[in-house]
Amino acid sequence: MVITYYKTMANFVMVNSGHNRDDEASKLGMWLFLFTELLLFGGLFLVYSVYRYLNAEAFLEASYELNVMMGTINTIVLLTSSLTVAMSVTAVQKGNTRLALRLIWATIAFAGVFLVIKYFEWTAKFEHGLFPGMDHYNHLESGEKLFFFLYYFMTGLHGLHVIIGAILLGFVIRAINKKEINQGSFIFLENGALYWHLVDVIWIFLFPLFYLIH
Amino acid sequence: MSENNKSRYLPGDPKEHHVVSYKFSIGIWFGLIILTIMTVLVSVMGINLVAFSVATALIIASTKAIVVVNYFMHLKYDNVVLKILLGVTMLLFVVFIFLTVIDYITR
Repeated sequence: MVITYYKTMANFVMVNSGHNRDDEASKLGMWLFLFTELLLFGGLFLVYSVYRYLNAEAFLEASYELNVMMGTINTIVLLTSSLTVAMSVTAVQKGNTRLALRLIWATIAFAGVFLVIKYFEWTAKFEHGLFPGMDHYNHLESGEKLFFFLYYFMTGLHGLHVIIGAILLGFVIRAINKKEINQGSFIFLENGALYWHLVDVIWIFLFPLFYLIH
Repeated sequence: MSENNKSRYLPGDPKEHHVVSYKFSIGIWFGLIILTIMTVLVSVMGINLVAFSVATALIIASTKAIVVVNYFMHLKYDNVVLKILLGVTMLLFVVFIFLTVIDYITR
């Protein structure tokens, strides 16, 4: 009876023996992590909404200091990077790893563009003395201070996620080159892409809440 | 895909991977760009009712997020467990917002 059991099992399970792989579980793990990220930023959005409710006028005044054009360009850059990483998943599923590699490199390049634009935005603010501790900032009323503090903290934390996401995609590229990611096994790429999309989703909310209060 | 990748199959795997075509992804991207331009125009053209423009901005942002989650993140084609968990997480967040808001407006 034991032998029959073993033989029956062999038909189903032994195919994968030696490798305990469970893509569904890996993806579930990634999503659970993403939920903690959502709640991390969710808490910050909560702080934002309370202070905006209490300082509506000051938030409006302060938001005029932000450059809508740069914000819009950055939104488009991030949306496009989401497209390229989504297409790279399709490319690997179709077995076209060359295209997938190019698309992931493009995503990393877009991450770079995003950060460079962010750099110019922040340095422009610094030149106007608009950073906690600087002269101009110190003379603002408290509502505007709160706006800038939240702006730096939330876009800064988001920028950190952009950097981490780009590094993660670097590891994905390495795994593709080592053939660890291929047409039959691409959960690492999928999870990397999920992280990247999360970064995009957070920016989708940051952009209107900081740049577009008019 | 199922032909040359038999090893991918595990007992209990709900279904084969749904492959999203390039064309479809580009279509989704195009829609997202249109929504972005819309939200910028609504803001810059200046409809002066503050509450109205906040609501519009949030509705457009939420629409974009739902599109990204469903199509770019493949949630639409994924295991129902993930959808339920995301729903629970969002519900939790709504509870946070709700409790905070009723606290502040009743002071």
